[in-house]
Amino acid sequence: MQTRLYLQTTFRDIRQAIGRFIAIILIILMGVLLFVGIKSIGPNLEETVDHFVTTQRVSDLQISGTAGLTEQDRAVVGKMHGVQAELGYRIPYRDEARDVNLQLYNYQPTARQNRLTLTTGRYPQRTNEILVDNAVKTHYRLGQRVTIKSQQLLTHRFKVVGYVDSPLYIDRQERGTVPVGDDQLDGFMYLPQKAFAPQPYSVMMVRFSDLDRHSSFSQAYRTGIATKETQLMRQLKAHTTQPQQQYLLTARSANPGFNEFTSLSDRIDAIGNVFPVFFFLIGILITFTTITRMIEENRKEIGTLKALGYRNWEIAQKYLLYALLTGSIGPCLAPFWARSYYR
Amino acid sequence: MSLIDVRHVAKRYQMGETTIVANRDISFTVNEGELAVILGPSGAGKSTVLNILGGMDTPDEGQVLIDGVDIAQFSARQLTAFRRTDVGFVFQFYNLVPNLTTQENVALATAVSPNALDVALVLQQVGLQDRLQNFPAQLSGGEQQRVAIARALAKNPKLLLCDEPTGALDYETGKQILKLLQEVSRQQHRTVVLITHNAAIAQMADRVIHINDARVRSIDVNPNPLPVEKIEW
Repeated sequence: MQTRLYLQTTFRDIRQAIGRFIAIILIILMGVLLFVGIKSIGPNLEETVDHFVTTQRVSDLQISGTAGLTEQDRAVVGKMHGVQAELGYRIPYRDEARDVNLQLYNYQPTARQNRLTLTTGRYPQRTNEILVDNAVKTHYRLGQRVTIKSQQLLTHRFKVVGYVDSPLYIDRQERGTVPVGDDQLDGFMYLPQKAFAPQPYSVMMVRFSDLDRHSSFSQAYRTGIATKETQLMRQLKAHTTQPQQQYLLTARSANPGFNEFTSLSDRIDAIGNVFPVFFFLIGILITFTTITRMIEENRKEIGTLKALGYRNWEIAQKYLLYALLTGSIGPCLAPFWARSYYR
Repeated sequence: MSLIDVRHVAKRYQMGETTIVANRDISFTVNEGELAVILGPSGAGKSTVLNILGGMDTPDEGQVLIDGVDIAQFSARQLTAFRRTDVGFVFQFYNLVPNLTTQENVALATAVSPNALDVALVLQQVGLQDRLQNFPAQLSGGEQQRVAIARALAKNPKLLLCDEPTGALDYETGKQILKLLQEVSRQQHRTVVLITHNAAIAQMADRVIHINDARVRSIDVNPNPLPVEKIEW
């Protein structure tokens, strides 16, 4: 190659002004790292939720009925392919003394959906022991004896043994609504199974095993869950024994906090599309000014090369090579570096 | 037959509103193997003539016949090819590439020249056989100018064009450089065109072209040029 010797001067130039070379690489590297970081937040948030949904086995649907639910409803749902259905209780309750609105759930150690996370205390062992939402822990001391005067309960005296987080409530503040008091739900409690009157049940938790592999945010999941909902609704209506029964299906995306989380991750994803444009512009600007300065500094050399009969593009090769090196080393390194911070 | 035949060349530069006339109807010839000196004060248009001769610039009017071919009609591509093969430039400030050694600086020229000479041999001719691996910063001004001459010669050009080659050198070193250029002309029978504003130097030339105020004032043919050693200034 005729310009081999000339191109060698590029590397000697780099060695002589190594600071400038490294500076450009670092700036581009930082730009790419920021880009990689911001761009990956959205997917990371979604992945976090998906991981959470899988490990805590969050229900895809919560079914309730105006006339309550029975074992027969469960049998209808359970007959469908790949469905896991669990009946349970969910009773709105207002604790006047403490001014809190609660949802009372039944605690089943064998429950296979919506796995609770114990943060303090222990799980109930006796039939009068209860778990309290972390969000209302200030109102219920650990070990405290609590009276719950709901008419839908068989027993009313309980003892607080632990505080928990529920995957049904992922937002710390926003707990959703409840048809008691001021309609604002403050928290939940898990009461022993035996405290509840046996029939009818108030809620059915449903999980579809064939939707497991889809991300909650994917189109496949959304269309999948919509199809399941119509199927379930049709089956339930066809087999119900109570003509007045109205079924209500609540998808996971309607869980309190879930919606907000989704729009947050969408928002950050949108930012991730705008920010890189600036980094891209900065990268262009820096490379452009540096190469322009280099050419300005090397005017005499360029003139000499022209006098020697070098063609324009042969002279340009040096600067293209420099720009290519500084412009590509950073982006090549960045993903590897970024990976080491991942997880 | 003359190697260089410049006919009615004119060159103007546009500087904003004003037009600067660098050359106004320049005509002269230089024979093959001659050492020609273009003599004139600063701003007379000498460098413009040299740039046109070397294919670094194109005239607005007139013909520039080099070996019978009119380079005034050349395209930019053809001019580059012409500079590659037929012209060697020597500048006042040497214009060596600072991060290349003596040998590499000369090789930089031969890399693109098809009928180049052996680098080491040419450097030996200019007396730098012991400085091959030195960088320009490690050489004296005179040595650097020798490298520049070697770089021009190594391409084996038809024309050696020198723009004030002694301008940045002291008296003794300048004389040595001129002596080298005269030897190149005499021994290698190479055509050398040399620009200077120093009238004394003109005595070493076969032909002296006086340029003043963008015109050729006179052309002297010198049948007995003086050896450089005999010239004093």
